[in-house]
Amino acid sequence: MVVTVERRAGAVIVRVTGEMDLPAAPLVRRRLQRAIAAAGGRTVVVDLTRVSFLDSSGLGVLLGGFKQCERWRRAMVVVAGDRIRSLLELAGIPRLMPVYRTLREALGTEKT
Amino acid sequence: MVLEIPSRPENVPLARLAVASFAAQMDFTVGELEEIKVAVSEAVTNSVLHAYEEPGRVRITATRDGGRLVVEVADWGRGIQDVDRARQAPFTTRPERMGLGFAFMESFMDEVLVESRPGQGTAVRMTKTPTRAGCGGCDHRQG
Repeated sequence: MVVTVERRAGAVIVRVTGEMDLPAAPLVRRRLQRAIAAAGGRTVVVDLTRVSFLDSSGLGVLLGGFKQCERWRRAMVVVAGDRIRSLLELAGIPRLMPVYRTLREALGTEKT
Repeated sequence: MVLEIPSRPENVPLARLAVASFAAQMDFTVGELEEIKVAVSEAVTNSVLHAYEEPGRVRITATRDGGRLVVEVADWGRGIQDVDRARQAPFTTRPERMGLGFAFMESFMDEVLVESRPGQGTAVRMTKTPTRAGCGGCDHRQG
């Protein structure tokens, strides 16, 4: 499992590759927390399009990120393909934050 | 198939992959195999997180009962005080978690039975029948 963080003009992109489960959760949580802390006025974009497996441990990381963004008044959005998206929907994530199909679509929300 | 593992986070992927490999011999679609992996991951994660103070054992059993898959995840840990309450989503004893483990198991499997005795352990028994099993050998595939 790999987490990369890319800073652009209006967004910080946290890209997760691999499985997002119990053993992966601590690293993803740490990287996401740091990215949110350093985001400033940028939108935090969590890109899950390369995630091959997601369960409630991974969803808990997203929820934690959302709560941190709420506290720090940051905007957070998620990008996910169909399979991961159906899990996000089952967990009610789209009620908390926008979920996009592509990174390009998500970056249309950048504050420039 | 019987797999007995120490209740450590790094063993959760092994458990779900072992069950998915067993289930792949049946007539499940790719999408259904993914659902089984999530359900097993949730059950094993519960044992890893909640059953023991120090790492104990988790036993995962997968069998074929006629046309259906039966998966049992058992531990010999502290048990669940109130199973009905634990099964109500969102229920969690940890703020960083969503409390959706049982909800996912119930969404993705046909039947989920939980037997738990405080101080003795918990066994989660889940069953699932391939959807293709009921379509008379038709060639529809999904996922």
